[in-house]
Amino acid sequence: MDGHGPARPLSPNAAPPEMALDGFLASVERRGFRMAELALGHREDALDAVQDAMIAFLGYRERPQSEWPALFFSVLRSRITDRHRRNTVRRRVLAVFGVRDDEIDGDDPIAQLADAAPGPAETDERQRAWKALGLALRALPRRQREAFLLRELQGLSGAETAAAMGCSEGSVKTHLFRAQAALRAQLDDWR
Amino acid sequence: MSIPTDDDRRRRARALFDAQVEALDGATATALRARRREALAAMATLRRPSWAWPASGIATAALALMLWLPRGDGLGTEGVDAAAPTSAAPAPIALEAGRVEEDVEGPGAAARFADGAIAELENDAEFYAWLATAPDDLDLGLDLDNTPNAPPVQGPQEGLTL
Repeated sequence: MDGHGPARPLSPNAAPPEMALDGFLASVERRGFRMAELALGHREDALDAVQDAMIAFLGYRERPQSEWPALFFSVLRSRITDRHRRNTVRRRVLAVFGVRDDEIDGDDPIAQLADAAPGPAETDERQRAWKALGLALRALPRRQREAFLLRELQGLSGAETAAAMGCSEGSVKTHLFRAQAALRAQLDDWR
Repeated sequence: MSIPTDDDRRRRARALFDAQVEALDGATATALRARRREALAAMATLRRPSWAWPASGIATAALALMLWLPRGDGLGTEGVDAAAPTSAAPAPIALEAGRVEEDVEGPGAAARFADGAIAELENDAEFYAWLATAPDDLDLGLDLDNTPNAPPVQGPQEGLTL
């Protein structure tokens, strides 16, 4: 961990279980949402994936609090994969009837609202970069995308990323290496 | 103009991600909070107190008993001791379930069908009249030697093959 990762509970059993759970989920929900948004490219899907992950994570609440971050992101990764598959099937079914997916959903107007804090120019630049990053990540194979999201953006350790992905640390390194090679071509103007 | 390295891209991606997390719009933050509360509320609903399990077991047993007691359909003569219904409260449910979900496929069902058909024939006087006129070498492929409650076989010692 290098300070960029999700907030971690300070000490086991420091707070009553309900408060500890609420506090933990509050500390990871935004990062979880942004991760899901990058992976899915859709605000409502991302919100649903985070909520599904929260509900599923609560089934593991008896586990030690030190394991919660990796557990939560492992569950979220799984829910994102489920949503990907569901959306793929949905698009194929709609294509049979000659309907495009975005004709039904449209773009969520709330998602189009600019984030408030910075000035307009900075926001525009950031939104462009965010969109480019999302497109580049969604173009990656699933395992490479997951490795990049968990290890590089969420800041999980190599061991935590491996546990969350259900593979070895060596596999994580391989996925990351390939992801970076692919992103080199996709984001060649980034510095 | 320098060429960006992998480290540059990684740093920028992470900085961008952190900035987006910090700058989450109010509507999304509110939606996330609401969904977190829904998830925690769902957990509270699903969590049952420890006394709820025995209580629900007792309630189920009482309901089963209530369903079973008014019945007078002869279940007690078919393997359940009607004089002591309370000692075998769950058994009628199992018997009832066995009746409703009767096995309609497989070798067991075929055997039951054959047994029933043969039993009907045995009680049918016309069958015996027909049997008396049937040719001796008639072979329908039914072996009554192994049929329970078969009528006494008359004639050759090797048995009657229909």
